Amino acid sequence: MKDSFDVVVVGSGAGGGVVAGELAQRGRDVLLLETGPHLTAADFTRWEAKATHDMWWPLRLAPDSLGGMVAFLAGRCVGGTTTINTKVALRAHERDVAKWHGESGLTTAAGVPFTRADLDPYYDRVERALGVRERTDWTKSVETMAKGFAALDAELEPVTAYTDVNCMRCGSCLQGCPTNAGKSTQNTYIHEAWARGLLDLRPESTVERVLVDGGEATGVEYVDAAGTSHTVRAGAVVVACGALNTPQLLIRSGVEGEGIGRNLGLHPVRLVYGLFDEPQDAHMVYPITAHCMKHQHDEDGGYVLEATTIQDPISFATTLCDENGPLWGQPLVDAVKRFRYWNGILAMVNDENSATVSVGDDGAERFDVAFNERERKRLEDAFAFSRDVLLAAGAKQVLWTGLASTHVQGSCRMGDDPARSAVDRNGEVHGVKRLFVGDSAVIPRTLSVNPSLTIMALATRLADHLHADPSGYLA
Amino acid sequence: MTPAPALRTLDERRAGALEALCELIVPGSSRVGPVVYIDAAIAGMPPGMQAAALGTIDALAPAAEQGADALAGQAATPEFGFVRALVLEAYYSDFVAPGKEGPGAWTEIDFNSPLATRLAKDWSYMGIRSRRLDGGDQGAQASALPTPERE
Repeated sequence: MKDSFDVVVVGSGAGGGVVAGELAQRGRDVLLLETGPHLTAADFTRWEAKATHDMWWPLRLAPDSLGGMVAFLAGRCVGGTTTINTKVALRAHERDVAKWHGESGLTTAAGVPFTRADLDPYYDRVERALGVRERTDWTKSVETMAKGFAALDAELEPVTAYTDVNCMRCGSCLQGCPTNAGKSTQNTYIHEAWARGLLDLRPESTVERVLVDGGEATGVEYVDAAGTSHTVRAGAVVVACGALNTPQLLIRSGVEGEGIGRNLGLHPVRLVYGLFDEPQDAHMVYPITAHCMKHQHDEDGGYVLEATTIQDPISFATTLCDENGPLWGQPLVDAVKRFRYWNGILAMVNDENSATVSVGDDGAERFDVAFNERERKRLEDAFAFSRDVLLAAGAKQVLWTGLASTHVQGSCRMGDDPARSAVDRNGEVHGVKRLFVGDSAVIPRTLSVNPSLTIMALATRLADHLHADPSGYLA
Repeated sequence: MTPAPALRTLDERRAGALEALCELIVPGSSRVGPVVYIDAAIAGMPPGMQAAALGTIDALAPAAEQGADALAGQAATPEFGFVRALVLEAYYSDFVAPGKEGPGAWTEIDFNSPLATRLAKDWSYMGIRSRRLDGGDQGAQASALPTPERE
């Protein structure tokens, strides 16, 4: 088996999948390693239990300092979370990007603060590659919710998404799109290169460490599905395992740096559900069809609401809470029996990157979460507004979930100041040549919208940098 | 009638305690045999987690024996949270164990997506061999399949 490449990319999600595909299409010799399986649309069914087993990271939880737990949810398969997400494609607001310079001193090559305009050319390319379009094909459940927003002088607007016209609005997004209407890095960037023999894709391959010698990355060691260890060498290594895993891999590889594992942002979410008299069938939709941006900025509340959504039966039942805590017994059974009558809002809250990722002396991963007062206020306000919308829309009962995070960002943030960042403006780890981070971990401050489009834009930018090869790493 | 499968991790005492917990957490759930699913789930856990899972059942068994009021006193404990999650996964996965007539939870809650209702569920990924029987019974038959590891 080939063991030497121009670039080895670790992780195939929104970051790694784009970097690997972009470089392979341009003739670079690329190995893409993914710890999860390579499943495609032919494997995807509306079977929550099996999809969770096959394609999701085992559930990880962290105490949230509010007396509850935050659940971390992510994909573990070729395409990463892009294979099992809802495909919402939003550019970061310029005010969100403007915060990055303040957080980490991030500037452009010209030495001026990094702005949204520096990302726009990359957004353009990603949107073309994924076929981003506006979703105006609202179902009844979205129309129900729109009335609630309007009653509170707020507007529900269509989202843009990387889903094409083959979308059946079947609600299966979280188990993988069975029609390939939902675009992921798997059925776009990766497959376009892999199917033509341009990309070496090795699924079920878990990287144990990055090899570093004399301050330079030289390759990686990984274990395949049979338990066999392999060493591969590369001119550059791109770590893109997601903001929870990337800092762990760097730490386990002996890479040190002030910013590694710090400044983790959660962009925490809570689902708030309302029970209606008529069936809503919120499980038979494109699950995030619309959003309300009225409170997007911190000074306006600091949260974005998305609608409509309801989790599939296991997740729905398991996460249902009321003021007494998680439901169980007859109240739970009675609530879930009305599955088709529930309609839901996803409340996403701005946070300030106050969490951390670390590795204990016993080798175990550890996540520390402590929301500050401002973050708590936003969580409370987002929940209260969501509940008010549901009641205004006609809901007779409101239930909710605990907190979850599907948008982790910023645990190896990008910046000019090594004291406040882990990687430089090009994604190269401070103090270690040829080692790059290519995922959401580089985002210096959590976005107020779904981050996948921005992760892909940043990954496209990284691919351009690697291909230009200003340091001669790939020569 | 398909015979009930042999359990792999639960002895008779623990299986009885778990069945009582299932009925308290999801009244009516014993009709689908959630204990078979949970036994398979525990068998797939790493050894350390297996021991912890069995310990949670032991910790809640006395309260389960006394009924819902006693179990309510345990509702805020991590042990209850863990067992609750297992029971709800077992039931709302739509699992129906061999020898149980069902119907499964998806019928009860009218989870009617065409993609979901067309499924012939094969539980072998959990170490449970499934077979689709005449009349739409999606019962599962335990087998000697290798136990899959779950992190």
